[in-house]
Amino acid sequence: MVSKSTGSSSETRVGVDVGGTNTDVILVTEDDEFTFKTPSTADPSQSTLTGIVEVCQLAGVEPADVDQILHGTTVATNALIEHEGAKTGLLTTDGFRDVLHIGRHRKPHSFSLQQTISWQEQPIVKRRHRKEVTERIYPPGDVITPLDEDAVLKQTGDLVADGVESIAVCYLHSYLNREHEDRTKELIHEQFPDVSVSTSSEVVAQFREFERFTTTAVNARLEPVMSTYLTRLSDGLADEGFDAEVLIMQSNGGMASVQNVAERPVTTLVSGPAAGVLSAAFEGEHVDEPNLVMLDMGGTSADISVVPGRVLERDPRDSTVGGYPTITPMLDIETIGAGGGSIAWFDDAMGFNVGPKSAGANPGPACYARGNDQPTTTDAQVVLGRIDPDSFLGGDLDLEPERSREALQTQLCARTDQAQFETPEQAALATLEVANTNMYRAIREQTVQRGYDPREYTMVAFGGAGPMHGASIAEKLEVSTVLVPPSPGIASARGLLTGNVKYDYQQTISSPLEEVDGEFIEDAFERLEARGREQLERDEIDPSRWEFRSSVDCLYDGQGYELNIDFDGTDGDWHARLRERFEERHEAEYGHYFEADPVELLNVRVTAIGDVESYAPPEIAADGALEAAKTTESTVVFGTPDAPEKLTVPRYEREKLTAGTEIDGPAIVDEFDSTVVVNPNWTATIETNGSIILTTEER
Amino acid sequence: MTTHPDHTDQTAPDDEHDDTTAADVLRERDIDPVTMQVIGGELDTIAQEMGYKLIRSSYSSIIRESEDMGAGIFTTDCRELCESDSTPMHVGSLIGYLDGMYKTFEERGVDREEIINEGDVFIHNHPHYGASHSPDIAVAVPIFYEGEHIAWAANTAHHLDIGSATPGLAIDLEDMYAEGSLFRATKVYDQGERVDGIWDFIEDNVRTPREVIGDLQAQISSCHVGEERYLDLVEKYGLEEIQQAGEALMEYAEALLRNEIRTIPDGTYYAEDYLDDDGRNRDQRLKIAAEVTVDGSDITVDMSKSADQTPTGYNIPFHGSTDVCIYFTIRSLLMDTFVRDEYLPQNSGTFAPVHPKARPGCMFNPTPPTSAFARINQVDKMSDLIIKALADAIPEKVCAGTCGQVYFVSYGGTNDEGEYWVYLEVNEGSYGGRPEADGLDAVDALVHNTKNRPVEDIELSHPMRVERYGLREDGHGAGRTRGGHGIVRESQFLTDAVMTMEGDGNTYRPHGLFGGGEGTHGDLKHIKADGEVLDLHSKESGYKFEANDRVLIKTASGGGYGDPHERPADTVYEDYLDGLVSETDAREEYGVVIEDGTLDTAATDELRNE
Repeated sequence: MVSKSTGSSSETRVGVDVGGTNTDVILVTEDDEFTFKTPSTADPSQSTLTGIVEVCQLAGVEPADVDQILHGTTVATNALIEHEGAKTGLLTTDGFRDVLHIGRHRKPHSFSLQQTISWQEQPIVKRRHRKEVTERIYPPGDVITPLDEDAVLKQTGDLVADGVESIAVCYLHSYLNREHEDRTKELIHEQFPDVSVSTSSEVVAQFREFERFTTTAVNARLEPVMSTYLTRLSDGLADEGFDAEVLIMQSNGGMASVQNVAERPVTTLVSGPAAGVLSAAFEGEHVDEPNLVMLDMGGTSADISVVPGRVLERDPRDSTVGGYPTITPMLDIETIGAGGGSIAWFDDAMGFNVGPKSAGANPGPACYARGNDQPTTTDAQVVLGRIDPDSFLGGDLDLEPERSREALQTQLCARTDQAQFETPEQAALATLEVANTNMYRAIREQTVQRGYDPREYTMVAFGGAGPMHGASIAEKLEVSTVLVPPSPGIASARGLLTGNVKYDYQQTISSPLEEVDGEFIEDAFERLEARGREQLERDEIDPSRWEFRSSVDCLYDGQGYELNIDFDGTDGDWHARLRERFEERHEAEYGHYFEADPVELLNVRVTAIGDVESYAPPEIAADGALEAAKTTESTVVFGTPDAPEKLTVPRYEREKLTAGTEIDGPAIVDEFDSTVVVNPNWTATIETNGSIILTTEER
Repeated sequence: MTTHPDHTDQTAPDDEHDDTTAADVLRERDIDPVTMQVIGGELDTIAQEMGYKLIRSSYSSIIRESEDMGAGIFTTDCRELCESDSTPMHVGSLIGYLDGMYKTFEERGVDREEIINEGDVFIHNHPHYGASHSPDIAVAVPIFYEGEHIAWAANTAHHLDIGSATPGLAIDLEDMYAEGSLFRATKVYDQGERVDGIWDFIEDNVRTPREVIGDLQAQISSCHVGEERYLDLVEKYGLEEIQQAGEALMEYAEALLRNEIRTIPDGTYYAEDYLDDDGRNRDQRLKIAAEVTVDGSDITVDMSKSADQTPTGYNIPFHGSTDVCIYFTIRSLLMDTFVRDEYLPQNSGTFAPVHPKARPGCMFNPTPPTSAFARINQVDKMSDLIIKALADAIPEKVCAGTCGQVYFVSYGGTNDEGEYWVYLEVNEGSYGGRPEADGLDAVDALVHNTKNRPVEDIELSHPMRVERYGLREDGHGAGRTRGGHGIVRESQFLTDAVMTMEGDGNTYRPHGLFGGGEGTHGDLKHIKADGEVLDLHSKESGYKFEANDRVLIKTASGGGYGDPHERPADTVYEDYLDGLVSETDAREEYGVVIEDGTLDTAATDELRNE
């Protein structure tokens, strides 16, 4: 797929996002913008490279003229989920080799005798490679047993002899005192220079050993994989004549240098989805809507994120990837199993379900005719006439719409002994209703439960399926505006262009707030800032573009869940200021606070930001005639499962729509990688940058 | 004390359901499947949010880290509409609490309509009036819509201390009055007004007042969230629609479970074993017997053949504990969420086809004024026996002997100011081998599904040092799939401390199944600062440690499933490499020969063919 339009950027930059199915590429020059899509390859550096080379050819840009390549990668995620990665060892405090195995001792399923647990079934480090070392640090950071350096070398020697390539060093309370971990790393580097080492105090200096140890072990396991990948990519780029700066998207929504990511791959586990959130935030900013709900719906799942004026980070205690806790900062993205491939089915007690079973992208929906005959949400859209089988994916994929109808008929209508819908249309509307409800609930959990009123929000819907479902979910949420960005299938790649370099640093203090000395805390912040400055210098970002944000995590003494609040220095009665801010936050979050209870300051945090190039999207032509974009009229079913309404609606080709145009629903806008459904009672307005704004008066 | 509520047999098997097909159910349902799914999801979301808010803002680690709590919305006739996905020990227990409150109103001769008002907040924890046990205090907020009481928002959470004879936990109790503070439908807010007297009473009668009061406040906030969200739902869909959907969802859940019960051959199944002792009379083992009768789509679990109630606190409240654990066990066997995809709403429908029974006066249905404070080990063993009883009938759905016990411990002491610290610790158990997989190692087993407390958190908060926390390496039940491993945990006290240990299983081993071997039993030691080692009973009340003494805990490892000789030699060798089976055990139990660290395939074949 190719497209070309006019934009503006002072440099030539390429964004490349590798997804499970496709690799999406976008190139911007001073006045042009080009996009390209190519199937992802088993070795993702290939399709990444192909995509970059092809988009340059398309744009007529010489490789040497590209200034910056911004990359969203699933290398770390896939390696973790598919249990690949380096043979990894662990050095830990004597008596604690099984922390990684016991976890928090909670079973993922409360009602199950047959379940397996990922960290026991597929350990990041096998038990035989988890070695103990005599040493002990005890709060508040005292060394009560010195490090046995001979044991470090002996255990490392055994691990190396057994083929271990990467070692995680995880000692208890190292977040309070990193001396033993640092020394261990030094010893290993001296004696075994080829072995990668990740220490828990470097990767994530926070208390709670299972989560910190696991995050560190994941990092150790992924480090050689990521290094190899980045080296291969860099070499490939060099061979093709590229000399651009390469930056990688991290889970926290910030870019990082290749050097940083090679050492800290665990920070990229939700790289692609994070770029999606940035894309949503960017689109919102463009139309002056700060409060956003992102819905990125693809073939197998939907990513949901709420942006209340700023991108949110996930509570580290809820952060898991592939069943493993990974507590590095990541944007707050909820993934649910609702996609174009989600299957609709009746269970034994006549409950009607959509998902979690999915036909995914392969074999895909029944209409793909690749061997799945179960009806999916895509099949429902086909039966309802919303997807045009002839123009699906630009006609690249032949759909067989009769298979959609047959699947719905056979599985949901014709079953004599069981519940049934009368017609495939009713079954299709019911399928969408349940799928939309699942997404609506997930959005409610992210908004209403956290005190954000979605009615004041704009939904940004993208991904292949997002623009088909957006307005219907918005109706449930009483959201009156839905924004569909241009080429919604590559929104994440575009988001890459809007990111800044961003590094997070944190340190556990764990002290009563009132007792924290001003000088002490300023020192702690200064040390974290120094690490940020060092990294930004290594990245060669001009100091005029640096920014540092400071915050603290507080909780009432004795509680277990901290709340993050801004820190604005130690002027005046800063203790009282922090306390007040904490109480406000506690009340907003939980509905109450305690006036007299002691507050604990748990962590200090610094985010170091390096502002990189900004992105301005190209403008599309204005004031064309709507009729010129109209392709045909077709029958599309709206309404409810009880009362389907067959309507004759116009279809438009998105590329031909011009800025300022308005389309009254019901209508369908077709484009290469998506379909925008304009529901009855909704109006679509085309923005100057090509975005479609769907609005409704009805709430 | 007035009359004891009779709950020998809660619900008789229901003949009318026997011939009902799933299609009939759907036809009779007044609501379409889409609306039912939509409202079911909304209810579920409310319960999860109530649970989340409570966990996040609570003080005691047993709530915030271990998540020993439950929350949900209930009808005014005490049926459950939804409940949070927290530890299953609480799933359904709130029904008993609300029932107990109603019985209290009845006995006090007060009119329910008059006593329950908008703005009220009730607390309740009486073991003979539906409480799971007294440390689990329920908070219940009546939900009013247009002046009418339409539902309850309620939750229950395990409190750090309720002023019982010993800090935190208690076993050797004379009667229920020794449990500490008992509340029956006590108002802590009356039509929106804080009842100061009762808050003062709580503050003066528990050892950890700041935590207990903070946690009660968190419970109240959680109920108010539930109230607000449920009213939103009523506004959106209308009261009648919500109530209809609620009924349909209960029917739906019931139908799903009935379908599964029908797959078990009709008949009566039985298993028994003996518990260590009652915590006072050390030489008297306690019989525990589960009789399971399957009749069409109904299943009755009768615990009446178990020992009489004990003279200590080692008894099980029938409502809220015995019944809840029976529901849990049947549901885990038949509706295993790991192997099934459909959405099973959690509501009273999941209880309807299951009929718990226990004769009054047996330990599973004690009569007042008997104490029933300590009950977790008995219900664990009960679950284990129900699974064992059904093993031959549904071998593909069971597992071999689980730990069937837990060391639930309270540690406590006072600081220089005389203020108490109390820490409740749930030690890990294990599962027996399963048809397709080895038993789980080191998890919170069966009906409790709490989280452990990080070692770093313990050491930051209390004068204790954890010296060792890992898997047991001294054997497991051998089998085609082997039993999971328990843990060994060694903790040192930095100051003088007192411990109450609520445990069992120091004298019996998890059973093997279908040729699998027995697991290992639990073990407790007191290691004195000078090195002297003392054996401890599985139950200790107010046991004293001096500074620098240590406690050593080893929890049971599960039984094996199937013939150990059918376990692939490679798999045994992997366990050997991981330090979980010795050369000797590999040879003697599995017929696998390992010489000098290497697997000898030929010798193994020879040995196995002997």
